[in-house]
Amino acid sequence: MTILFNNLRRIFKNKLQVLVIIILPAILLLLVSTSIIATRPILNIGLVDLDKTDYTTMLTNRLALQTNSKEVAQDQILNELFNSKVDYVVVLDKGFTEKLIKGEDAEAKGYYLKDSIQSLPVQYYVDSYFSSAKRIAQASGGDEQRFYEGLKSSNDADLQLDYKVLTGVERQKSYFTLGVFLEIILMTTVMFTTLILTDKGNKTFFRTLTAPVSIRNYMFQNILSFLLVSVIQVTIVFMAFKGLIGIYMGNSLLNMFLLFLTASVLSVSMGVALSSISKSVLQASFAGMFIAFVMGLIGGCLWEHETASVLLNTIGKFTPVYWIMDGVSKLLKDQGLFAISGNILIILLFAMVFFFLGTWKKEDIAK
Amino acid sequence: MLVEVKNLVKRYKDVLAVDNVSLSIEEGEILGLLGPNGAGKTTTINAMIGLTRPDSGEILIFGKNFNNHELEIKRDLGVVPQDIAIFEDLTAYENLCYFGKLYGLKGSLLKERVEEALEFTGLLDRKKQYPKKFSNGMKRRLNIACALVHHPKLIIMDEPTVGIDPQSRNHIIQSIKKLNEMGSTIIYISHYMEEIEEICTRIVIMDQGRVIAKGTKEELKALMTSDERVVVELSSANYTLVDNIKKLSGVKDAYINGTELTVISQKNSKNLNGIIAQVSENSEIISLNVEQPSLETVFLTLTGRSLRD
Repeated sequence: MTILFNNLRRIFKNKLQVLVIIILPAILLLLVSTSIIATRPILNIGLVDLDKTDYTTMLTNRLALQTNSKEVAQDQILNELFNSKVDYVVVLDKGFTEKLIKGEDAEAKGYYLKDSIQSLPVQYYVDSYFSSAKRIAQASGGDEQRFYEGLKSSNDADLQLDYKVLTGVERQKSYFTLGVFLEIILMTTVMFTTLILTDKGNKTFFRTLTAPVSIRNYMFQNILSFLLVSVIQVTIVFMAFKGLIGIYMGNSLLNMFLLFLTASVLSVSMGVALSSISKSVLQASFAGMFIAFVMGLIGGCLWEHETASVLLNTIGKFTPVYWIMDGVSKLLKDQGLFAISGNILIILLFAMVFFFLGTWKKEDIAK
Repeated sequence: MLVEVKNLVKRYKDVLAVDNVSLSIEEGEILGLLGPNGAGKTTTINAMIGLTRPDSGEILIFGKNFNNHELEIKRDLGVVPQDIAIFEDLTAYENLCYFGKLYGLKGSLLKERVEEALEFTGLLDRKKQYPKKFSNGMKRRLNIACALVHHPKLIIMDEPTVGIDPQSRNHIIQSIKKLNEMGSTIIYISHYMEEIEEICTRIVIMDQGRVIAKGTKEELKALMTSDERVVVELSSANYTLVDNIKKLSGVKDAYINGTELTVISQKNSKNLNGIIAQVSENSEIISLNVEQPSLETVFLTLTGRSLRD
């Protein structure tokens, strides 16, 4: 394993390479992930709480957790809406909670501008909150203490419901972040797989083969070293995903990790094939970046397949990236390892073809 | 025989790079391989170290067929390639460790051999330095050290002194002599005739893919004893003079290089007076030299061109 360890030594000795392969992707993904969160719309809600009970306070606090909410004076409602200072105003009249507990028809008034899309999620949220409170009130038979106990239990349940609602957003964020990471893997792998070309350039490739080393053994050790570097890259970035970025990875982080390990096998195979075809490191690097970029676009690294046209998806199916991102999508929808086994198989088939192209034994090594 | 190459043929499409080459090397020899660019020297060597598959022929090294015992044979081969083949991103010590390990060295033996090779090439005090900080001569020496670390029985050196200062060249030449004294058999390819003359015990001259002469330097020079060579420096020269000289009895060839006229005649043709008379009619003689055959002359006569053509 002399060639393998020598490669690792050389790759990790190059500080710039380590920065580009491992540290930069983690930082870039952190920035990408943060920027996605910043672009999410923030809802501005106005509250007119004339009832001032424990229940209305609880509602106010919960809305404050998810939106920008503020107290609004009753006579300022229209002014606030017209000047777009708030998207939706909730008015809780005096005696609202009492009516609610007694099972009477208690309705909160909602003010919003007609055709305002922004206000819809708040409407749904407030309606949902009130309807569950009405059910609890019915069950408590008008008993205030039982109502608040039931409400507390329901709040816990609501928290789970909130989590599910957020998962939709998280899923998109995760898909995009993982797509960008896949692009990074494909692009950076070319950096170290061109080590074979570097060795051909400085003639150490030929010299190594004058030692008792077969070309097959040489290629095997090279590929193994590249795989190890790629696995290290994936592992470190996944640790950053989990520890620093905290993005959603579906039910099983391990399954996603496994899918990305398959992606690293593929990227190494692509790099080896490119190194074999290209005449110089520069040529291989440019070709690698270009192919990775195009594959990323066609294969759906930057958008989900559901949102792409049929034509794009059909073309995409001929790229391995499509199958990786399809696997990502399935895992983010909480499907298991079995669901992505077909994807893994297709990706490995692509990798085999690339490995075959890259290690095709030439008649003359010296040529 | 340590090495036997029999009827080696290698063709690249329409070009016959090696044309039925046969040569042999005995243990303890330094065999010089001479030839102009494109003579087939490197292709022959590449076939002997497994970098090129010959179309036909047989290579026996250490008595074993190369095709059947490639890895076994390579364990005792040391190759110094024409191009410097070292890792610029590894220190001199790390470079030697890598190549030593490829030949199965490890532990204290590896350390010992690496230090020994560095000392032999005068690089021990630079072992922790990266080759990018080395002079060309030092890189060449490291290039050699990498081939010696495993104590090979047969060392193949392809122009190991190209592009270096005389001091480094001298160091390398002395090292090769020392290696030979220590028992190594060496195949030495060079464009430098004086190096070949100085260190090689036997010489093979190749041209256009074929072996055109082989033997000791004395044997090769003896091939030329049937010729006499007269070099005349003139004040001016013209091609009519060359034509007239060629008509003289015993003259085999005559040519002009600037104002220098070279006349090659059969031995004992006694035509020097005739040459002087012809030359004096057309020009003034500045100097005249009757040359003894050198290896350069042998090469020039056999191939019709100089080594750097």
